[in-house]
Amino acid sequence: MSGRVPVVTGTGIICSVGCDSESVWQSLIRGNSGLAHLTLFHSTRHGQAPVAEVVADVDRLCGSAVRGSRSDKLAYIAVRQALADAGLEDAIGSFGNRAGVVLGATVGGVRGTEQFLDGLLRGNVRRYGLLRYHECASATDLCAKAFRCFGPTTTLSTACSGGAMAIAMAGRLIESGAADIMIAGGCDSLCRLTVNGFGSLLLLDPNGCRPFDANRAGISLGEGAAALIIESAQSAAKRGVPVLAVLTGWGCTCDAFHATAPDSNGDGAYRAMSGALRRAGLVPASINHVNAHGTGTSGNDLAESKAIKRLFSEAIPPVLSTKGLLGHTLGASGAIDSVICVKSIEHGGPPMSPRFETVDPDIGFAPVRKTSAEPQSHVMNNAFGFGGNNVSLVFSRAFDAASGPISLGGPSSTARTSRFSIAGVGVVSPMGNAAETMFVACSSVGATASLREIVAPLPPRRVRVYCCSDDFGAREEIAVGRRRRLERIQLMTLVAAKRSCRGLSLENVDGERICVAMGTGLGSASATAAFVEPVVADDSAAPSPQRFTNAVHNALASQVAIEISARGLNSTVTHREISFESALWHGTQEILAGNSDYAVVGGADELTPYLLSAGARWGWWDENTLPLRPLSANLTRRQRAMPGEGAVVFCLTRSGGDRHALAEVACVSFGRFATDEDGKIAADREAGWIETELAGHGVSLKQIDMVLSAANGLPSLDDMYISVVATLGRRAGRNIRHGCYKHLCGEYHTASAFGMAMAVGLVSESVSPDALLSPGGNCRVVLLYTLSVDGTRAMVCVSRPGAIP
Amino acid sequence: MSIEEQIEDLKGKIIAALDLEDVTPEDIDPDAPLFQEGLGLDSIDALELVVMLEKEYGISVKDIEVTKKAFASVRALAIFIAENHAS
Repeated sequence: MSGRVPVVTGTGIICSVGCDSESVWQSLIRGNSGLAHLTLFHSTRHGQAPVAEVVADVDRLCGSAVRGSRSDKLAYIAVRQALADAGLEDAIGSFGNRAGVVLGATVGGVRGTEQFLDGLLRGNVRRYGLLRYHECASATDLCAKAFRCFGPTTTLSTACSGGAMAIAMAGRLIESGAADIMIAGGCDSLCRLTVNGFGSLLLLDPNGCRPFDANRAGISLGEGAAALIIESAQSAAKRGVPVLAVLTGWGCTCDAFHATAPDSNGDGAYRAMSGALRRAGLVPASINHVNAHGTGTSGNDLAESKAIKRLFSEAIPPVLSTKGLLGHTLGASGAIDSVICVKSIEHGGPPMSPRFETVDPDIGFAPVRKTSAEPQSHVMNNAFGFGGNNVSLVFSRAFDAASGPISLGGPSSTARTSRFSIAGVGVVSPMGNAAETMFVACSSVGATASLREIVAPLPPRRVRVYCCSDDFGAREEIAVGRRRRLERIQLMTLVAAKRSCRGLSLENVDGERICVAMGTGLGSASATAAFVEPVVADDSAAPSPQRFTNAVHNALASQVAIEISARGLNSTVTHREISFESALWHGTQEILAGNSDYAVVGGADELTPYLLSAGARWGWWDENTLPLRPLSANLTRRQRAMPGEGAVVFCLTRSGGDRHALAEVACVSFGRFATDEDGKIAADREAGWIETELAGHGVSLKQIDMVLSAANGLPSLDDMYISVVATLGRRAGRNIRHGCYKHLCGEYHTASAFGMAMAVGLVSESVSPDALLSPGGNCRVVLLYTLSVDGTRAMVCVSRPGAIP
Repeated sequence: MSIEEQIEDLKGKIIAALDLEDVTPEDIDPDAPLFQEGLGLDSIDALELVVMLEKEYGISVKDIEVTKKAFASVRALAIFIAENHAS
């Protein structure tokens, strides 16, 4: 077994039937159900449908020092447990930037946001503190901080496959050499958004879910979290810890079919499963059992059964679903089932899949009726999400962590020095809605963005914002029948995505070879608010099902996939300011691994009223001067930020093709930065990380002409950028210029996608350095560098084609 | 309200509920299929119509199977409303 093979050395779960992996496993093999009455909040409309709540005292289990949403705390409990299982609870901090965290989450802190709205509607109480944990990234940041991980840290939000995709991403991070140890998993707490959302889709089985049964009538919701410690075989051997299982295969695909319904022939599911097998170097007959997604909806179970029958033909292995006992824990489910797979390799299996009575003639097989304890060598875990975001994983027994019989004939490459061509750029921005005109607009003297005043609601106050024009191209680019169903942010993203592919004839490319990865800080926060508000006000209200499907973060990437028929990996990343860069990493790695020929990658966020109000409350926004002026020389009178929005999408391919490239990407890296004793960024250590990462990708610090930072006018943030850029210059032995772009697009989570468009403009001499507040000669190599005040950061090296060999 | 009047009334409500900006009541054939062909509606539109039925007519639909017959056409929906509203 090669040293970079990802292996599992620890697991943790908290869910309805137990607060640790072993007790959940024991409960499952006995068929104990966690389904019961909803007590977390009252729901007149859906309170009768059973749910699988975590009944343990989550606050007590965490300890009072842990602050966060219910979802965050569930994640923390599972992660702490997995670390202890792997013998890392105290040691993980010593791995520095070689250990990271990637979690999948669907709702994040929406439960707290609902409580904020409840206070507002009932007593005009504004508990803004609850909104601090709204984002899915909150759980990941909490764990990374608490356990002092400084390696790759990000958050995926691909609905019900989030936890499984996080594990696949962790596998790739280990395999590619970007980290030695990854904490990977998923979390989601119950909330009104999902209970009413699935209720509005008529997908809640009033009698509790019955996966694969002829009389199944929908899902039962659950909550929980699970985490796995995934590390390189080399690292596990060095630490001398037992290998619980090997993560031998993963496959990620997209149906590109519908917002919620799976492709009824199960093609996307089949491709995910066969891709995972191929990567594991296994044939279908090697699989001992399939831990199915098996939600209990008519559509999922039928499509999944078709995929299983197609893959395994006559020899269908035992199939089980844990959801009849644990409910559907959404972002956590793929991670919980992964732990169950690992446990079945450890103890023998498979566990039973109870609550099943009648074979569906359209499915033609029954799930596992009785727990066995047969040795399990290779186990498959499926997780499929809204938007046809499919993930399949294969876990294998480690016979011998040094040189076992496991064949690893997968196609993945571990090379890190590939170059990617940026073949197209699509933009919807306050500076224009086509790359060429935007470059011209940015470079003209006295360029000003489209600015507006809008009213933030709490209390009503006027806020100046950077705003995209209303006629950004949706009418021209998107068919009316699709347009009416989508939110503004989705339309912005679709327009930018279509324009990024223009002229590249992607319609002639096999859709399976195109992947999509989108970053977004808040997703469609306006759809979330519009769905949740009426439900919080009146728990018998009937909210709009369309709004619910739009509120799910991965509606962004999955709608792009539908629009351009992209059926490869489909990923939506929601990790604050590095959402875009993490998505870029994900997309380019699919090309590097040989799974995709094209990666359509971008970042999008929209202006939303609650964000404006919370930002105003927290003193973020400038109320005096226009426009925003980051990196102002007058340090004592620097302004504050101004809110903005936009969608910027790139179409990337492997360099060296015959196409004309606008620019090249040589390096994408992300992780967490260290701070010194007084809380300031440890600039020396940070510059060292940048230099090392660049060198690892064949780039010398001396080649960097300009750092393009996300400075936004907030002194605390701008100072960090200034000190890091100055330190880089000292290390390089020459002045490295410092440019910025938020005075052109405003402040929003994925503004760095706009920044990357500016970097492309710079190296292709379409944007003048003056426009980025860094006068001087032309630039050939630009380092896009982005910090999040919550502790993560990312960098992307963008160069003129051929400038870096 | 007669079935014919109900049909006219429903057309406006369907356009509003589904945000059919390019469709006028005259465009809707009361006997044409509402889904796939015709207006090109999908399963989520059907669920939006379920919400509309509850809000406008107080008719609660818990099972999507029920809607398959009721949503066959605007006329079928008008008849479904007449039957369930009265009872």
